[in-house]
Amino acid sequence: MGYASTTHGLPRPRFQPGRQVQFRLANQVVRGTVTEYRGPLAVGGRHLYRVEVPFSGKYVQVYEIPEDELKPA
Amino acid sequence: MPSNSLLHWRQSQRSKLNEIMDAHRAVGGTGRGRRYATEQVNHAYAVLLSSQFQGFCRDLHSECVQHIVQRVPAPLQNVVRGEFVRDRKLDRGNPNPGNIGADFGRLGLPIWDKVRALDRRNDERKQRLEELKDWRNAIAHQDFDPAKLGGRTTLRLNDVNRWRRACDQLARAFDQVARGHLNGLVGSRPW
Repeated sequence: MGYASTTHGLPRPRFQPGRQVQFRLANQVVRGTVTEYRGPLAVGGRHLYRVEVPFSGKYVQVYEIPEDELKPA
Repeated sequence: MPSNSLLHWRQSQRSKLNEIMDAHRAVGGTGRGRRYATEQVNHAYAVLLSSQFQGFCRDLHSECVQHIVQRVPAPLQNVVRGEFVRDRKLDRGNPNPGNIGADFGRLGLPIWDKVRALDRRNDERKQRLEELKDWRNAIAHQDFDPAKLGGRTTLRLNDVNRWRRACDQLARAFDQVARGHLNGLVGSRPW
C-alpha cells in the first residue's frame, strides 16, 4: 500500500488484498476478490480497490470500486 | 489543489526516486569499477522512473474514471467502472505516449493535444518520454541497440534526471488538463 503518506487523517482501508467481497453490478450482486488497494482515488478521497470478479468460471473482469460500495462476502 | 494522484507522485514516489539518487552518490571507488557500478544504478533509476510514472498515470486515470462515473445512474456505475478499466494499457504497458493517449482517449480526453495547447514545451517532454521508454525496454531486455538509443549504449545520470524533470512537468500538465476536462463533464472542479 504505497499511499501511506497521502492517506494521513483517513480511516485505514478496511479490505486487504485476498479478501472476498461483494458489490452491486446493475441488478445483481457479484462476488469477487480484492487484488489491490488503489489508494484514496475515489471521489472525496475515499479508498478505492481493484476487485477481480470471475464470470462463467473462466473469464475474469476487473473493477475499481470505492470502499463504501463493498461488503465482506 | 492537486489530485491525489499528483500528491502521491510528489511525495511517496519522489522519495523512492531520491533513494536511487542517494545510491548513485554512495557508489565509491574510481575508474572502470565505479563507472560500471554507477551505470547499473542508472539503469535501475531509469526502470524505477518508468514504473513510478506508469503508477502516476494509472492512478490519475482511475481518479478521472471515478469522477466521470458520478454522472451515470447509480445501478450502472459499477458496470461503467469496469468498462473503463477493461484492458487498460497502463495496467500492463509502459507509460509511453501511445498508451497514455489511448487510455485517456477512452475518457474523451485527447491528452496530448491538451497538454501541447497548455505549453508547447510539452512536445519536447513527450519526446523525452519516448526516449525513456526505449531505454527502459533496452535495460529490461538487455538489448542495447544504438540505432534505437540515440547512437550510444551508455546511460548517464544526466539522462535519467532529464527524463525525470520531463515526467514531473508532464504529471503537472496531465493533472491540470484532466481537471479541466472533468470540470466540463461533471460541472464542478474534481480537485
